Amino acid sequence: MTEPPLVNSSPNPATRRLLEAGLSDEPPPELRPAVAAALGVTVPSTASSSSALARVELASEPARGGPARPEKTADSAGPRPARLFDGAGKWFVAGALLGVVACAVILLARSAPQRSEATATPSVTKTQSSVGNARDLPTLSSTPAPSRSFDIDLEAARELAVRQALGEAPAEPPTAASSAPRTGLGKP
Amino acid sequence: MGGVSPKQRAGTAERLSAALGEHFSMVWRTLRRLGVESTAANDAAQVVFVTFASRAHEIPITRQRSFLAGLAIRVAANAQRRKRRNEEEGARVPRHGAWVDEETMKRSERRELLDAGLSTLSTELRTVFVLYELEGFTLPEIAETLELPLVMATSRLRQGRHAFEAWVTREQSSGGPP
Repeated sequence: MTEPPLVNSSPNPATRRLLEAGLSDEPPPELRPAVAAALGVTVPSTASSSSALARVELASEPARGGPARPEKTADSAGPRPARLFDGAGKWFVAGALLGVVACAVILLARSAPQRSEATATPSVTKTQSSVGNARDLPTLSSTPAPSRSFDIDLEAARELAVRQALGEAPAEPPTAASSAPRTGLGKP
Repeated sequence: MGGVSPKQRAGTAERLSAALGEHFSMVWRTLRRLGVESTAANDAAQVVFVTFASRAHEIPITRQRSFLAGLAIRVAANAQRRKRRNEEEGARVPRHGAWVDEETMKRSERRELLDAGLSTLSTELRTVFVLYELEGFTLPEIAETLELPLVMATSRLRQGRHAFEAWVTREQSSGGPP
């Protein structure tokens, strides 16, 4: 027999109201933890919300053939698929991305001096005074280059300086175009 | 739980914790609807779970809810027997005037009225009615819990419904507005 419960099917609204009052009855909120403590166990945190529990219990109604009860909510419609960018998920993803970026930056920063030490090639930098003086050669410096693109620039400048020193290249002040990587290398 | 191994004891604690979370409200409501007073229901609920704790390792998870309901019914019956022995108290039927304002009543007042109506049913009919109408048990579950044939559980539910609806109609006609 799968008869719908009276709370939905009774023709008398007073009967329905009385049964609804009975359905929504809940123990005092402090009672469950007190019983749990007396028994030496802890109550799951999800159980602290008595109204949610009532909804779950009410949600069992269609299983026995009756229509859904009035207090049923979307929460009782079943588990929702997990979404990556919901709530705390988006913060987790953002944190993970930040961590990856930070690790990449640290690794790059560490690899640059190691590479320069391993090759034992001194970096070449241009001093502030040499910028305005066309005759000045770039000075050699042991300062490690901060990045790979700067290395390329310095290599070009060093090559240029060597060629100038050898007389193969005119002693020109490096222009913006010539100091750029690659573009300045082939210029006479 | 003298003869219970530590592993069983740990499992029992988990089961007990889960059962408290899932079924405590059902047990407490069943006790209340079967006539246990509010303050006594708090102690009675604890008795139910203490009893459950001593037997949890023997009860399959699938029968847990029925087992707890059965315990609540027995504890409620004991409480009612004690109450009858201690005091000669009739059913607490509310004043006729209560029905005049039934539509505007607060939920707590309606619950009192509900309990008054339930108290007019015999214990057998009341138990089946409460489990089916208020706790969402199916008739096979009720039959299993009460160790009854399914036909008898069905019959009791039908009688209980008829008696409860008749009581509501009677009270409305006698206590409603003229």
